Amino acid sequence: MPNINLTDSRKRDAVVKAESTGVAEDLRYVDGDGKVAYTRKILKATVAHDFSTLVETCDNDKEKLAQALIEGDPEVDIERCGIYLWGVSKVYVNSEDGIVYRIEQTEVVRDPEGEIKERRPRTRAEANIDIEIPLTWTGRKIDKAEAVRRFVFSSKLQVVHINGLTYDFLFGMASELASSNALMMIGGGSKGRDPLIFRSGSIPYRGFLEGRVDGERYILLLHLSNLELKAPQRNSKSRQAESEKSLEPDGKAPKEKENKDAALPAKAKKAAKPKAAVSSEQSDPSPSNKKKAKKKAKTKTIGNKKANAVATDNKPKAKKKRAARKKTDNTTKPRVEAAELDQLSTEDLGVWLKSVRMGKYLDLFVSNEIDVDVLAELTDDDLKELDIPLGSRRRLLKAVSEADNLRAEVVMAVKTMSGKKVTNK
Amino acid sequence: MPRALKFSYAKNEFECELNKIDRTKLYGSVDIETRDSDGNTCGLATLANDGKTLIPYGGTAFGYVNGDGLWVERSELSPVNLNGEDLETLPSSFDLTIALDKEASLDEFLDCSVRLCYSLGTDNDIPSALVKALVSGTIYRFEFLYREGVTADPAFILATPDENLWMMVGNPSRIDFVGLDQAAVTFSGDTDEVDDEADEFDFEML
Repeated sequence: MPNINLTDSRKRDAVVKAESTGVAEDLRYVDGDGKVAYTRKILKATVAHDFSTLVETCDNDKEKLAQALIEGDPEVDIERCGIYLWGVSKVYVNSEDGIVYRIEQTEVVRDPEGEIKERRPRTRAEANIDIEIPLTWTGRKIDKAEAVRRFVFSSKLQVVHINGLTYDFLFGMASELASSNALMMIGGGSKGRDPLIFRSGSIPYRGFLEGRVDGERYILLLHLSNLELKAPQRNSKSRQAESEKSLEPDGKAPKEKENKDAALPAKAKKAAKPKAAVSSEQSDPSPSNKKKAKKKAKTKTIGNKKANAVATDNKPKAKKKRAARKKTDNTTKPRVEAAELDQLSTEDLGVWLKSVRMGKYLDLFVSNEIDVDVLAELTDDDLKELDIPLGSRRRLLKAVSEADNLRAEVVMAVKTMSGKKVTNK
Repeated sequence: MPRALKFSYAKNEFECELNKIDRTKLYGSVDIETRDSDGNTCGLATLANDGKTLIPYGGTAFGYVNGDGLWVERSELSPVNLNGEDLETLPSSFDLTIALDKEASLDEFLDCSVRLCYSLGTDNDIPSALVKALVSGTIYRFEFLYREGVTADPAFILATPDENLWMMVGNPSRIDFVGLDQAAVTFSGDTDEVDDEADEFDFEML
């Protein structure tokens, strides 16, 4: 039961207790004689008998190890296998299974797509629920019905008084919250914006107080959440996978696409509907659909305005041109047929390279047998080997990384370029 | 492929696929890389309480023993409640049609701690009356078992204003009203034991 130091709406503060609300399971397992069985943690294998050590003892020959396993039980430590374990500790070991006493830790921050965003030294946030600065009653009330649809409350504690004074203090808070039918956000730090940290280095949570009152009795719950109730953004990997599926040569993509779409929440799924379905919805003059279409158009306008604003405010002229070209490309992108992807020529690659202002390297790529597939795999070091200067390397790698599916991009570039020629004529 | 639950609402049956939502999908994740002073990567292992037995990842297990300390196979055990009464085995929720006919109040929902959160992939035959009810604030409650078992967890279905449907599987909580007459919580250092030496004043306070 941790202590919590928190303030109320009148900025008074008090240290109170927070009790666990967990329920013990009403379940036991009994043997044939009705005797209750207990679980015990046991030892299965030590590092001296794990796979890597066993392979080493067999001269790194897995065949030899397989034979040894057939003939005997080298993986079993007869003396210790099955002993009860208690009071164990977690330790760090090096590749030779030696305990390491001095370690350095780095946090590798990944985005939702799994790409590394940042590496930084590990820091442990200090506990802040019972320190000199109390948790702050922020004044930000959220209606209960709204709160349950915005946050996932994965844990909760019941806040209880420890004496007569704190009874009055907590009863007052519970009454205030019960009458407003809302949850109150509480936070740490001097401004009350920090998340709640119960132990040094533990998971940070956002805290919400809920009050209920029955006569002179009260319930004050501290709901904890570290997850908002919203659908994940569709990332570039899923878009690429979808693009690849839409280009399946056997034309069976729609069925698989259905399965993929099923993995999306309802709204995302609606967005992923085929164009025909969307247009039929748009053509439906029912009031609900009109409303939806209007909302959609509004969202689109806002999105375009935002894009334009960014382009106007921050981007230099060249970037603006690129953005405009990209915009045009998106709106006039021709459809890529699966068969076209298998028929890419050197000229096609040249067209794409020109479209990203890298046309001068076509001969270099051809002489080094670099086709579209190899190009997609090239690294900065590879490009260095080809003596391509830094600026071009960066531009080329950026263009490749921005292409969801390079083969499809090349085909589209060819189609777009040929389209332009026709228009010019 | 996500598994689908079958629901019935006002005599209409429909299926929803469960797509688990967690922090990684929304915000990303943080991995901890550990290196020794020479920059070599380190791994975690377990050290037994003898201080010398190193146990690799996966080198421990849980087993059942009876009151006499003898090993018992899991298959020989049967589940009972605290009164020793046999518990009935319930089927997995994926093998049933779940009737959405019990509404839950906000307090009922808030009494549970959400352990699992799923977005529900829906198709076009989901009853519009249900969507309307959920979007207007109704929460439906049912019992959920991922696998066949003896205890079910409380589960809830609700919708966000953007018409996305969500299923939450929770853990029940023990929450009671407290009043002034109830025994106050004491700090861990306090005891009720009578101190026999309380009358002996210590004047050697140097």
